[in-house]
Amino acid sequence: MIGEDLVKKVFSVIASRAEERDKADTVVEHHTTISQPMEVNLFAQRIKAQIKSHGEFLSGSVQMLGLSRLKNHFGDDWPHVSAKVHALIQSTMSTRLDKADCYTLFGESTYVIVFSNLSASVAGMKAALIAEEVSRRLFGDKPPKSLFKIGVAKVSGDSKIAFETLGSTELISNIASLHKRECGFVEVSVGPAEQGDKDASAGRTAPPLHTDTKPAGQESEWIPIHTAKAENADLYSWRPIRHQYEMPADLMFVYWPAWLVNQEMIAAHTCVPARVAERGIVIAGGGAMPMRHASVENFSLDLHSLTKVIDNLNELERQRRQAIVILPVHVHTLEASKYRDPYKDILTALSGSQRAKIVFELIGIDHTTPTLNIAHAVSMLRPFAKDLMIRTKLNAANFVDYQSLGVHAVGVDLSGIKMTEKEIYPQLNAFNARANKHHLCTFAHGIRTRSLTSGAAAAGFRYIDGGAIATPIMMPEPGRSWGARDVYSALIEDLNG
Amino acid sequence: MACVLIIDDEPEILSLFAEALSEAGHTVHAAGNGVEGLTLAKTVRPHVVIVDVFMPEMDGIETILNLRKVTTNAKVIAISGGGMSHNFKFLETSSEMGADVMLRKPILPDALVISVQACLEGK
Repeated sequence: MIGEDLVKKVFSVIASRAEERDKADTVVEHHTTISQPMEVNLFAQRIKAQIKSHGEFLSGSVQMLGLSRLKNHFGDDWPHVSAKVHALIQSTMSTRLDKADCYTLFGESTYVIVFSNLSASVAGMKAALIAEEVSRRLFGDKPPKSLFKIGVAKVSGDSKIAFETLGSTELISNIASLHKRECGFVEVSVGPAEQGDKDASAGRTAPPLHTDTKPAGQESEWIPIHTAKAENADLYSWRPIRHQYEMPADLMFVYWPAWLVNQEMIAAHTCVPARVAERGIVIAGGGAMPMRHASVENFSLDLHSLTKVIDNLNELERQRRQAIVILPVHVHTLEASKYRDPYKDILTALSGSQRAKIVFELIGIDHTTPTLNIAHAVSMLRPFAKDLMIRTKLNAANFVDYQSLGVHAVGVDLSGIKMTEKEIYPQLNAFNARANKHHLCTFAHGIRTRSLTSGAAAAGFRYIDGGAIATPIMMPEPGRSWGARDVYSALIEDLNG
Repeated sequence: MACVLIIDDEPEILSLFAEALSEAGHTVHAAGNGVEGLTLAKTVRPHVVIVDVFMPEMDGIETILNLRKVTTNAKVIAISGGGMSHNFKFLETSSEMGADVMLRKPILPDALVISVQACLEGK
């Protein structure tokens, strides 16, 4: 667990640094209505109050979001754009952090975020998602890569502290060990916020924190961080099953909000794999799987995502909140009994209320997939689901079969399609027309641009998701209104400065 | 007469409208998508911009939003057929984003010329 000692230690460092810095150093408590930045000591008080009320954090992680690369990218323009960048970051933080999280700004180029109830790996993903959203708001749909440096603050048994850049080999291995540990010290070090690009990219631990945060000559400090037993259990809580494939240690799951276009609301959330690639770039969707897509790998992925969804639905139920989750499952997983049976075992354990919140989406289907196999999969899943969807190819034509199976919708994932938007536009129209002819709703996954979003809406797609709708989130949310205007809200905000 | 920029991904629409506006005495520039349109707007400084809402690469609304950075005085006419789904929500949204006039396709060339004239006269 992250105890009071850690927090005190972190804030003693923060406080000592704050005294050295000018009054421009700010701390923001994101979730309140306070619009003015707070002083550093108020930030510390906030944490202390939290400790007082909760005893200690059940779990937690300290992340760093460094702007030095961004600063270099802008060069001489940085003084003119920095205020806008900070406004964007703080605006993004205000929507992406939980109530108990806090963050502070050191100098002008380093944010430190305390995720009060997330494991290091989940917090790292969340920090990367924040960086991605800010990048997209700054640079549009095709932001330059690697302009934010994300580091996870961890502490080793022998008291080394460093911010390790996400995506490095060492961090991935540390996350792997994190997942496997039930409790104890987190053995990753935390280093200087804005130093050590070269070290981190080379896979070595960055220099210790004191080289950046304290005047030269002072000794480094060692901070023990404990992880809770339950902290990582929710990530990989599925029971060992034969034939499983060991997933990449840094693979996680996020949710794409699915926009119900005509009703102007977010109707559901699609669970997709995600991982933080080199230097903090978030890859969500099929591209996050650095695998060969063999059946065993897909099966393992399906199991992971199923258990993740169940965990999240349980949590939502505990919070008395409602949300619909779209859960992809490979048709191959449901073909062979060695995969199907363990998957079905878990499904059988779903409660009635859970079944009412899951929409299964059959994936891995192409023109070679026998309709009979799809039919078997549909009939197997139907008792455990609110509804069923089929992900197919943009040029699919066998909608009469899908209609006879009684599925709710058919759709496509556009994230990996190698065509220009000009080429995709007419195909979206044709796909939708074919589906509608057979009274099937349609959905489009993985849309990354506003022009494709509006194009899919014009074509008549009922559900649209992807980065142009909203950044992925860690937990599904109850439905909220979402209209055409919202597609452009971030752009409007950015243009208004 | 005025300088009019038409941005539409349908070549037939472009040529039809360009011909009608030219015949009405306007200087007409045409672009096939929002990115091209913005580039052109920077150089020709149009009095009126006619922009289709649904376009690949950069759609009409994003184009309108960015146009305001390039040319603040140009009048903007947003046009849309609503696509296959007859979705006019985006066209309605375009007025919130800075379009002065919204027209639903199909639009007769004469009607477009009248709309352009009305824009120029501030009606």
